[in-house]
Amino acid sequence: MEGLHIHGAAHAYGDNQVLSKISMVVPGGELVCLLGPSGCGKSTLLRLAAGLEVLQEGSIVIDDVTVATKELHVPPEQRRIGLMFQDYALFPHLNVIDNVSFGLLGMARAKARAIARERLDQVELAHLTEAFPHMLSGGMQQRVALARALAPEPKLLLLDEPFSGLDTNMRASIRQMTLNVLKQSGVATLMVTHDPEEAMFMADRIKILGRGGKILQSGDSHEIYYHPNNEFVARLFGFMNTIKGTVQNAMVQTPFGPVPANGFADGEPAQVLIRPEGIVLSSGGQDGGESSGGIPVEVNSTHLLGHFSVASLKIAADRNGAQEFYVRVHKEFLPELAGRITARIDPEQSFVFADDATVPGEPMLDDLNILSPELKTLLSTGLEPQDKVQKQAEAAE
Amino acid sequence: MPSDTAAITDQLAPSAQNVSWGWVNPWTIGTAVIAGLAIMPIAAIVWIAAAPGEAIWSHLASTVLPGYIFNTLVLMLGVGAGTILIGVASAWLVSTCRFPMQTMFEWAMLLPLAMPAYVIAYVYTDIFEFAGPVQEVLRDLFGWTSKRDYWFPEIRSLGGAISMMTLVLYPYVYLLSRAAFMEQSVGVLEASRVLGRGPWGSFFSVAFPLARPAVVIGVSLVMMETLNDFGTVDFFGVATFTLGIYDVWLNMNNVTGAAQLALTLLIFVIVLVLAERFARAKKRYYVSSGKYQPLPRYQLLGPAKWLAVAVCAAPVLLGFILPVAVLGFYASAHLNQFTNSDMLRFAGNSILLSTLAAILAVLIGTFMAYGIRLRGEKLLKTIVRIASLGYAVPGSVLAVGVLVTLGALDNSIDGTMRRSFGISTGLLLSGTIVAVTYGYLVRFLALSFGSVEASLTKVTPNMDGAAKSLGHGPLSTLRRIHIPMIKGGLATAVILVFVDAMKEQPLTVILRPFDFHTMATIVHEFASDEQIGEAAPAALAIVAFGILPVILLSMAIRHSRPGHSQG
Amino acid sequence: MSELSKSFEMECEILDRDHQELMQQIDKIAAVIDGNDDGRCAKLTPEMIKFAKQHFTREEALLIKVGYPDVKKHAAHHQNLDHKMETILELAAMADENSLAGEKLKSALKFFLADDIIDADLDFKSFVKDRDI
Repeated sequence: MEGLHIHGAAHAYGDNQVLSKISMVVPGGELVCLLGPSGCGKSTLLRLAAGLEVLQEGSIVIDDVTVATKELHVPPEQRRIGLMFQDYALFPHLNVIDNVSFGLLGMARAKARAIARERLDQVELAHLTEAFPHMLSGGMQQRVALARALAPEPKLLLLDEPFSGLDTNMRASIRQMTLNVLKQSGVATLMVTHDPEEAMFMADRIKILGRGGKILQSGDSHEIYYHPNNEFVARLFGFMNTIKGTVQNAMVQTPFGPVPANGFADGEPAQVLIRPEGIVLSSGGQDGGESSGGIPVEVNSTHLLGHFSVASLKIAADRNGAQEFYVRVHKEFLPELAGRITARIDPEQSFVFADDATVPGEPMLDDLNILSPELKTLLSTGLEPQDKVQKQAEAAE
Repeated sequence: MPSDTAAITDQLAPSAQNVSWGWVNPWTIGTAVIAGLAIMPIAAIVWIAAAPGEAIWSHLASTVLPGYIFNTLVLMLGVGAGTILIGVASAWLVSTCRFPMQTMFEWAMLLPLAMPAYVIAYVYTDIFEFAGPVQEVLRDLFGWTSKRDYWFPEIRSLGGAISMMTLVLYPYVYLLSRAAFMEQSVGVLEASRVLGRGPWGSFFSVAFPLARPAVVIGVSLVMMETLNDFGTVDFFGVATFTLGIYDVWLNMNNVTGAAQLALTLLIFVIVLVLAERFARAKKRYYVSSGKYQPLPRYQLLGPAKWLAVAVCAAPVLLGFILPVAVLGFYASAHLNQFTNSDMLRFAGNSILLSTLAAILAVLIGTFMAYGIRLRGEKLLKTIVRIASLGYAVPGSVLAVGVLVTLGALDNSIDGTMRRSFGISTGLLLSGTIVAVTYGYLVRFLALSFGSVEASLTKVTPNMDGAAKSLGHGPLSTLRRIHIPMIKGGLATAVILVFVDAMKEQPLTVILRPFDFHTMATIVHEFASDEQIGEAAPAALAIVAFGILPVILLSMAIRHSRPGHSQG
Repeated sequence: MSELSKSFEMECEILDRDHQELMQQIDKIAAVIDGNDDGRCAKLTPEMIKFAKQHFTREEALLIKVGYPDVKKHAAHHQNLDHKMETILELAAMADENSLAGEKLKSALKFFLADDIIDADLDFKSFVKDRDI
């Protein structure tokens, strides 16, 4: 089979187990994204596939050729792979075209340059062949690195956080271009990232890598987002409203009403995680929307962030209670102009997991890194003085 | 210069009042005066060389000059090639491979830096000459009796000089190329591997080209040192420019001729300075972007690992350990030298001169560094650049320039005094330690200025602002922020200048007062009389002082490992 | 894919035959989507899914027979694939009319076979291989 097949790869640095029994298949022409927080061994897996680290256990097969086992280590230069480094690692002493044709060994110079030129054309840099890396912007360097990795027609392309060095406003266009180029070339691609949005945009299949280097879930972005099979995966995509409770009659009681307990036995502690957009607000009508099953809430603050607003709210009947909920509402809905507001839970965006005491309800500081900027703002909404929040909201714009 | 402090503190205050003054300010004027003094000896050489005097140039040109040029070029190229070979190979091994004693070699490779070339020249001559132990053993072994019975390489030759200088100068190349290899983002090497080149291919197509500017800088410094050397070529009788200048000056007593030779030598120097500048400019772009990772090292196995040990060990053994052992052996036979009153006086002279030079050089260097910091004008920067050119000018050339300058000064003072008061002052400055110190300052100013400037860059302008905003006045800022942060740099500068002044030979030999000796000149004197034993204690003392900068450098190496700072 | 790659072989005849059969059915669906075969995804895919489920049952029985200790875990893994199979069936229902659904289906099937079924089975390759079945 074309592409990459890793089975049972494990890796430890001394006592520190960074990858445990990782298996995955990247079929030819497909793009698999390894998504996980920093320090979960993602990059190690790339380096193992590239041959920059020696495999300690398991096997790695590229295009039906075994390149690494416990006993076998094919050096990187014989694996015919492309690797795009996070810092691009362009050769500063070579100009763009020499960088791109660097991997075209044993080929007449004219031919190599022609191929390199073609690749550069593909990433819309054909006009910069003679430029040196230090003269290029970050986005251009990224494209040169992509062209360089693809020029030798590798059997497998490895991308290490390919967009992390780019500023937000050029990221979207470069991402789109990269995806187009990859799909055109039909190369099997394994990409690692800590950015959920990036993974969802790029990947045919996402694999979530948890701490300790275990794959927690594999699936397309829809499945991972709407059917996370554990708490870690669910929280990976940003802030979650968390409601703790005990299962009674196969239901978990929440202030918004009972939620099906998803197979947990009565008496077991459980928690309901609800995405900010999973709390649906409505207003108006004589009964203030109570007829649709909502319960009255009080909105404490709201901030418009463009195509949506974030709001923090409390249950009206429990306004002195501790728990505040954060919701995301579409721009058409302005809580400050609405009358009585009610809220209900969207079952598609709420998930029930065991209440495992070892996993704290609030996201850990580390996990904040994987939140998208607007969710970070959202998170801080209730915690900061109003004027600062306002500024952050502006900054997030 | 106690008034410096006050001047600095004035400047730390909001600088609006200085704006309208333009270049008329203590910094620019002070620096201009310093630069003028520093450039004077070189200007004097040009002046004298161009002045009509005895027409010795055509004579020199038709007799000795071609030989000087040939010998000097061969010496430079030989030492350059040798130091690249040893320096780059050991730097590569030490920074990218894993083999026995590799961490020790990281600093041990620097040891020969403590050894002046002239000292190992004396030592190896003693070992390899006809009457030396090596040939003696060979004769005993094979039953040879006279020189005609066998061939043995002549140590006192151009080849010998190349070997000696290579052995002690390669650490410059080692140091710079090692830093370059460590700075290289691991990514570029790995990228090369992934793109299909093996370890050797990656070295030649990526690692070495990237380190090339650093290597060029290292080799330029090596060649400057080569041109500066006097003791080795004098002892070996290799007719280079340095020796020629000395010869024409002192033996032929011809100032113009010496100046003309010096001027020709300066052309070599200018080429080197330009090469160095160019390489430095290029090097900035060669720092690859991004983060550093721990360098994954190649684990060398079997014969390869012992070959690596040999490659690293040989220069250290030959360039440092063996000569020190030989010197130690001789010194133990001349222990009385250590308490000999003459010898102690010479040591005192050395320490006096070196201390004087070190303190003055650092004060002046600090003044210039603050001048640039506080008034970063282009004019000032240009002046400073000129003032620090002396580091590249060979000692022999500077010596001629200093003598001419001070001689002119003495004459004009003498003339004025005679006209006004009828007193002849004679030579006031020439032939005194003022002349020697002046020479040292011109030559080592760049060293002190560079160290101070480097340490001053750690104090960012925002720190000044932060201190001010927290209510600290200029004086308090200087005391609480600047001095604590740059004192390490100042101490380094003092040590570097002190040690270099102590080792300095050509300037001292030419400029010293009559019958005045330092350790460097007495070693030369003894060695010229083939009294290696008597020279050993002083030579050993010079080497011992020379260890100081090696320790500083190796500490710097340990603390500045970009490859190991991040996980 | 027409032949199972070496790295996907279980070296157990029953299982390899099942995997081979699944692969051929999936290849046929892919060929239909690419327009190289006439047939209908909406018909072929449910047949393939049905065969996959039979394979799961066969495999679990075999694992129980040979006393594979982690059989429960593997059965749970099979159960977790329910959602993926539903998605595949939904896509297949649209694939004959909607080319976007077709492309998604092709990709989903590749991963379903290689990543979800065979690669997961390789975990017990050495266990099953050592026992003569």
